[in-house]
This record gives sequence, C-alpha cells and structure tokens, in this order.
Amino acid sequence: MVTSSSVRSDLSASPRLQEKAAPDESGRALMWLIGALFLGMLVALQVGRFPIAWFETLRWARGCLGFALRGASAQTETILLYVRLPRILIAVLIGASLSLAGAAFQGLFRNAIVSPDLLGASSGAGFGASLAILYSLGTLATQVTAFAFGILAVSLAYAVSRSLGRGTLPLLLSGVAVTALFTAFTSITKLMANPANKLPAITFWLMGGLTNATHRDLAAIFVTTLIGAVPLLLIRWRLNIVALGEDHALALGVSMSRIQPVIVACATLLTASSVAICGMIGWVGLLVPNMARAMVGPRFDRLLPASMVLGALFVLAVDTAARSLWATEIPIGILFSLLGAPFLLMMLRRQRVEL
Amino acid sequence: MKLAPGATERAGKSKSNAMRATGLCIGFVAEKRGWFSARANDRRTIADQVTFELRTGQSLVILGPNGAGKTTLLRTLLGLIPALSGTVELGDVDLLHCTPKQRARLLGYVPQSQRFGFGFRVRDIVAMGRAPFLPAFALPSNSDLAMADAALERLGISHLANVSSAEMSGGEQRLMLIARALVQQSPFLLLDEPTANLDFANQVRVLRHLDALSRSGLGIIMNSHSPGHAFACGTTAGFLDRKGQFNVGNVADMVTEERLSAVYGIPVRIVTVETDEGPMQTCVPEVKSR
Repeated sequence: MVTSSSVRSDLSASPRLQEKAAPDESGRALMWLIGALFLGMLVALQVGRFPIAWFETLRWARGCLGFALRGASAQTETILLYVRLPRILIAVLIGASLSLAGAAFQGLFRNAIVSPDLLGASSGAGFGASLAILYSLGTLATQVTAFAFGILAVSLAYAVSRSLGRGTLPLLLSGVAVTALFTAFTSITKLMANPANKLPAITFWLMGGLTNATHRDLAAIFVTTLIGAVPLLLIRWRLNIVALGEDHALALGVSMSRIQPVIVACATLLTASSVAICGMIGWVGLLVPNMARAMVGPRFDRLLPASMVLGALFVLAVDTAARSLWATEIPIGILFSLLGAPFLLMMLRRQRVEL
Repeated sequence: MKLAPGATERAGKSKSNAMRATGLCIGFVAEKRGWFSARANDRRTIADQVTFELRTGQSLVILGPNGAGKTTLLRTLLGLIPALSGTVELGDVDLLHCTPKQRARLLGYVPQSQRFGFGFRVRDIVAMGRAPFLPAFALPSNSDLAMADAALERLGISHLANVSSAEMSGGEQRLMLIARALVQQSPFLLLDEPTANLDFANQVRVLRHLDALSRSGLGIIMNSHSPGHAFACGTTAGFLDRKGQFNVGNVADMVTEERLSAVYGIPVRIVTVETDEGPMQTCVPEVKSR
C-alpha cells in the first residue's frame, strides 16, 4: 500500500451525526408501529357517536375470531361490522397508500418535500369529482370519474414530459403545469355550479372526508393498494439508488427509463384511488414519510414499510377524531392541515434535511 | 493490504482485460421527441475519431482545456449519453449496445461530487455497488455488506462507515465513491475529475489510491485539469483539444512542454524534483513570482 506515514488517511473518527437507527432498532420501530396500529383500530371500533361498552366490542371481536360462543347483540354487531369496521379499514388503506406513494416519489424526485400528488393526481381527481357532481352522477360515478381523471392528469404530465426531455426534472415541471391546469378546470366547474346545492357539494368533496365510505369502496381500495404497493415494496432497495440520481443509477446498472415508469404508475394508482374515495388529502403523503424517516432513518427499504404503517395509523387517528370529537363531522382535509403543518416544520427542523 | 475480493482475479480470468475505442465520435444530437419536437438534424460533434486501447493495470489520464469535451467523452464511454458513431469494446462486449447491468459489471464510475440529500450511511452507499449482481427485488446480504467494509478498509476510511454521507467532506465523499466502484468488481474504473474541489493533501491521497489500484491490476480512466496528474498516476495520457482531436500515447511521449504549451496556449515547463521517494516530474506554468 502506498499510503506513507506522511500522508495518513484524512480525519480520524470525529464526532459526527451517525445514522439514527441501527438495523435491529429500525425493525423494532416497525414492530411498535404495527402494534400501535392494531391497538388504534380496536380503539377506533369502540369510539363513536353510538355508545358501545368496551366489553361489547371485545366480545364481538372475540366472537369474530371464534373464541366466544356468543357474539355481541345484533345492533352492536351491525354498527361495528357495517359502519365502523369498513371505515376504519378504508382509513388504514388510504393512509398506507398515500404515505407509500409519497415516500416513493420523494425518492424518485430526490426531495423530502415532495407529495404523491405532485404530478397532478389530486387536482385531476378533484376536477373529475367536480364534473361528476355538476352533472349529478351519484356517489359511485363520482368516485370512478375522480379516479379516471386522476390517472388521466398524470398520464398527460408523463406524455408532455417525454417531449421536454429525459429524467425527473421535465416530469416535475410538466406535473406542476398539469396540476395548475386541472385546478383551473375545477374552478371553472365551480363557476358553472349552482351555488344553492352543487357548489357546496363540490367544495365539501374537495375538503376531503370518509363520510360516504362504504363496503364497496373497501373492496376497490383494497385491490388498488395491493396492485400499487407490491411492486414498490419489491423494489424498495433499488429506490435508494434511484434517490442518488440518474447518473449514479445508470453507473450501478439500474435503468432509470425502466424503473421510473414503474414508480410513477404505482404511486399514481395508489394516490388516485385514495383521493377518489376521500377527497384531496394527498398532503398526508408528504407529512408521513418525513415522520417515518425520523424514526427509521433515510434508507428507503426501511422507510417504505414504516411509512405505510405510520400513514395508516395517522389517517385512522385523524379520521376517528373527525367523526367523534365534534357534533358535526369535520372534513379530514382541514384537520390534516391543522395538525400536519406545525408537525412537518418540527420534523424538518429536527432532521436538518437538506432540501 | 488486502485486495478487494475479485477485482483482479475477475479481470484475469475473463477476456475483458482490454478496453478498445475505435473511431468514436462524441457529441450531442437532439432526439425527436414527439409533440414539441426539436429539429431532427440538430447535431453537434465535439470530438471525432477517438481511438485508444487500454489494458487492465494501465491508467489513462485524459487532459485538455475547459470545454474540449473530456466529461462528454467519459459520459459517452459510460453510456450516459449516446455515441454519434464508432465502437467501444471491452473484451468481446460491445459497451455502447449492452444493458446497463452488463456495463456496470465491466465499468465502475466515480462521478464528480454532489449533494447526497437523504443522508444515507456511507456503508449503505458503498454496498450499492453490489446492485449489478443482485436480482431486482433483492436486498444486499451480509456478504455484500462485508465486501463494502473491505472496500472501505482498503481505502482507509473504515471509521466513516456509519457516518451520514451528507456530513462528509469532499475528499471523503470521493473516497466513498471509489469504494463503491471497487465493490462493483469491474476490471475498469472511470473517474470524472477525481481531484476537483479537493484540497492539496486530499488530491494527493486520491492520486495515491488510484495509483495503487492501477498497480493492483485495475484499468483506470480519469479526467484531469492538472497535467501533472499524468506523471503521478498515469501510464497513458490522452489530449483532447478544442478542434476535436484526440491524441493518446505514453505519458513520457505525450506530456511534453511543446504539447502542453500548444494545447493550453500558455508557456509550460516540465521539471524534475528530488523527493524522499525518488525523482518526481511535474508541470509548472510560467507565472512570474512577485
């Protein structure tokens, strides 16, 4: 070795920021999160406007698992099984979807303050929903239209970006443009809407909420979450390489032109399906991955699962608060922003994220 | 000092011990890209007829003035931008038309330093060098991490393994990326101005490491702004001038006072200095001391 005594390797171990979580520690954090999520779901089952005693909920849960001979009363069972449980599961799936999509986009765009609706999924869905409400299409059609326009907006952004050039920067720019475009379309729909009934309906939809969520939505969101999440979780280690940028990725044999469409398609499916059911709460997908990063460190192979569980817990908590704390239900979009904004600033300050 | 596992034996056993560029023409061509398409024949040639051959254990230092296209040449060899014409072969592999994965097994790349926004640990970044050998859905195993540790050890930066890459100095970052390229186990290493933005001592550290790697059997191609680097760690020097001509040959034949003065347009002297480790040649531009 050529290194002579006069040229010693630079700098002995100086005290510097070491990564927060060692492997076992981050695994433990994930376990805690999963435990907290199950506990949260049980609490959320219990909480609500119709009072149900704790032992009733527990008896019902045991009945479902086959541990008790007799389940809960018929009325209790109806409320738990057909009202609260679907809504809880939908909140969990939406939280997981948006947070996973947000974490994946943050890697793709190499920036911690990117949200999963960056490419227009939310504003497209918002326009689709407004249009459906304007033409009185009904709940299911509104959701389908919202989903379709969310996908359409991102497809448009993607097609335009191809003509601007390769890489993520053109994609980001065309995403910003498409978002502005569909937001303008939504405003036009609002202008055309009848201020007595349609306009409030549109405004309320855009504020977001799970008020109208049903069994049917549960099946749909379950399928889209599965399709969108599995590929992203499979390539979670490669996402670390993607997050270093195109040059590094190609030098390490990772073809960006192949992996980028996969990430965009999966994240868009997750975002559009969530937003179609619960309105414009894409912001969750910016907030939660940053909270998860503070817990398990920057590595995406750990960040993706942690974001999913934490996002599920977060949306569940906020939705439960929204439906039970006040006499009238508060749109969760408002609650998210009220709770999330100070929280995000705190997180970013603590982490000293390089933006 | 241990060798990084595989680096030399790999180069020895396969036929990939010579890299050959023939009639390579580098530059930019505007692609036709759908709706708002650029003009189809918007093509700019930077250098024509770049031809060289480099074997493992040799190192090529590419020199030339700013804007001559040194970085473009390197990026073309790496497949980051397409070549306008010509061929680049490594053994029997056509580097311009192989998959990124194949190429990453043959060429390691050390880009110029940049921000590492998310602050991954150094060890995790070095372990990414295993990517060309891992299936798409796999995570690095313990043996992959052990290779990363061995590479860090080889470059003398083991103490940095758990440091966040966002908190490193420029010199440490360069060594980390060299370590990552070593983990790639490729017979050839391409470095884009490995000493740029480094202080006096760190430049020397990086050059010494590169010289050692080259002597241990790696083929090295690097860009440099400092012709003296050819003496320090090059066996071969290539000059890329503003007219798009590429001349390559032995360092002693290529790096001469006449050529340096002609290429850079300033008077340059080559001097020999006696040091503790023997005579050392270096290039001195004529700037009068005050």
